[in-house]
Amino acid sequence: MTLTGSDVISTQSRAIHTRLPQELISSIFTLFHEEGGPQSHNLLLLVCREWQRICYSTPALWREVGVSVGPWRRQRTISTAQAGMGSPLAEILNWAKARLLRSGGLPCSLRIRAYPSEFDYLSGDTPFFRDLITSVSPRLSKLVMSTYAAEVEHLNALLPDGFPELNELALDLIAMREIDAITFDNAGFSRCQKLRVVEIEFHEDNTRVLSFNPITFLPWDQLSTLCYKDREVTLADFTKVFSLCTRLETCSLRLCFYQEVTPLPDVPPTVLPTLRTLSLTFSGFHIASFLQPFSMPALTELDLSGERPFEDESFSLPLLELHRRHPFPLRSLSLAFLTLEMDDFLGFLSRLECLEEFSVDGCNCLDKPLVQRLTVEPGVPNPFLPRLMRLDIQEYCSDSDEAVSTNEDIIQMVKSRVSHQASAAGVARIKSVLIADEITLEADENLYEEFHAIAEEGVNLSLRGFRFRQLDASEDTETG
Amino acid sequence: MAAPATQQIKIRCNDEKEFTVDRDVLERSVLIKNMLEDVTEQQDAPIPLPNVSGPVMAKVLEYCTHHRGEPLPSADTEQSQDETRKRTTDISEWDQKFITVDQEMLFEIILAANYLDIKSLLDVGCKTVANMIKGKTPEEIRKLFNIVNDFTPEEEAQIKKENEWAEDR
Repeated sequence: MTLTGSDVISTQSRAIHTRLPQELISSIFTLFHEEGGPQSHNLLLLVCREWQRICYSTPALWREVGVSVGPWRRQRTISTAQAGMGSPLAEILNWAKARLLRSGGLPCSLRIRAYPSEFDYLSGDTPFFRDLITSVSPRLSKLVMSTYAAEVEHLNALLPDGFPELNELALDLIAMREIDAITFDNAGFSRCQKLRVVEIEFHEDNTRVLSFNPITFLPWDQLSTLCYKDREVTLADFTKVFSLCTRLETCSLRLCFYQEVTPLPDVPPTVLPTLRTLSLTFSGFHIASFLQPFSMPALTELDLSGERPFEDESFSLPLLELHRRHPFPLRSLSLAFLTLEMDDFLGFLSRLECLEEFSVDGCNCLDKPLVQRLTVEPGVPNPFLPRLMRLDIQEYCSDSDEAVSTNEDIIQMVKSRVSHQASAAGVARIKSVLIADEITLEADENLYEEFHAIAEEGVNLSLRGFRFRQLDASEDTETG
Repeated sequence: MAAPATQQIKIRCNDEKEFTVDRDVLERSVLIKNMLEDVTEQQDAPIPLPNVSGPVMAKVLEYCTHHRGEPLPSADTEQSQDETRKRTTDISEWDQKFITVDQEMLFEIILAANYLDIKSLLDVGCKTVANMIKGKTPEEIRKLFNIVNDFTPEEEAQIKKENEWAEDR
């Protein structure tokens, strides 16, 4: 059946957009879009002309643009030969600009992931993203870029005044082999007065020639959230950087100081008064001393992890000394792949009266002795961890393919682990136990019921790292 | 000493249906709150609400009674939310049950909340419609809301082509 014009008008008269005013439809579209992501436009635009018109006249729908150029793109792949003016890449830029234009004067957000060929980039044929970014620089509130470091340097040079509205910045950068040292001398980001949230990763690259001054790169003293991953920043530079971050609330660092052979930098004692969460993954020398100048009186969550087990200097004494000098009310402690000396470590633990969650993973074969030292009689308060509610102790197993062949064996193993860990921490307070060895299980589905029965006894079982092979199935299944 | 009696206010809907309601319940509506503040002397005449029918007002009052005493959103918080924080389409359990009505009543509640300026109720209504759209194809949306597809196949293809650069998150 073909609808005539009058049929359309008659049917449309009952439609939602004839019942509600445009501003309410716009509000509904905005709510839908905020959870639906960039592709939600396609859906709304395709319903009918009136929805399309309302979409186009709703600025809030157009304040976020994400573009991705590279061989992994799902929809299209831009080849090297296609990267010049008038190419699909230029088409993408025009598309993105047109889209952002519809957002009027609203704060906007850009996500760019682009690695066109270095040859095109250097030959100047590539109309790259700095023009797109600068076109919205007065109202850019969030910028996410995964691209060449050189692009960011050029961007900085174009923005002597920074981005006045930029609140959130995420950079995932690699260096190009053909370009010599990049210095970020004109650091526009350091003048972004509203910048609060920063995530930066410099990719590890043996051919990297990137060198820049991290101290002037960002307005460190105004950041509330920092995630920083750089294997080549020096201990001296980063210690200075960290001493500037006096407004941090959440911080995640991944650092490597293997190149350090010089004495520690002379950093005066610094208070980080608002830092509540610190996650530090590292490898190399002097790392244990990195935290020593810093007082973190609000720190409640600490996650320390080495990159490989047993290779780093002992962390026990520095932790103990740090807490002695500047106590912090830790509620959650997670340690992985650290060298820990037992007496100092127990000394440190005994100071953590507020600790509610404690996780140890692969720390210098400390796990079993630690459990033994923490063991108390049921009902007796644990002198080390009186408020502990959750304990995760994962053993570092070199023989990771330990096989258990029957349900009975498995259940026995799990029960003994639960009971062992529960008594280790002083009992009924334990609400959750993580069991995470790399174990291949051969069992039928009844095993889940057995696990469920254990869980009903009041322990929240969390299984991770198990490979579950059904007896009647040929392929392994990863358990959740 | 007995607690002071709550002031009762009369309202009249467009179908002549009248309600007598505690003032603090009615003041969930910014429109009525402002009207009451403008009146200096006590009036017995009901406040006319020409854009709301009795059955819809009964639902609105059910919502306002449940949420009486909760702080009203200020203009400042609304603005800062709009600019800096994304809203979600989460709806509380009671609100979800309350708003489980037929589509016609849903639209009437949204219109009434808009007219009476009850921001939280308007949010619940709009979120409900947004949730109805979620996970549906354009054709399913058309069917749900009685919409006719007035695009030609060529126009549809053009819209799809224009947006194929959108990045998946």
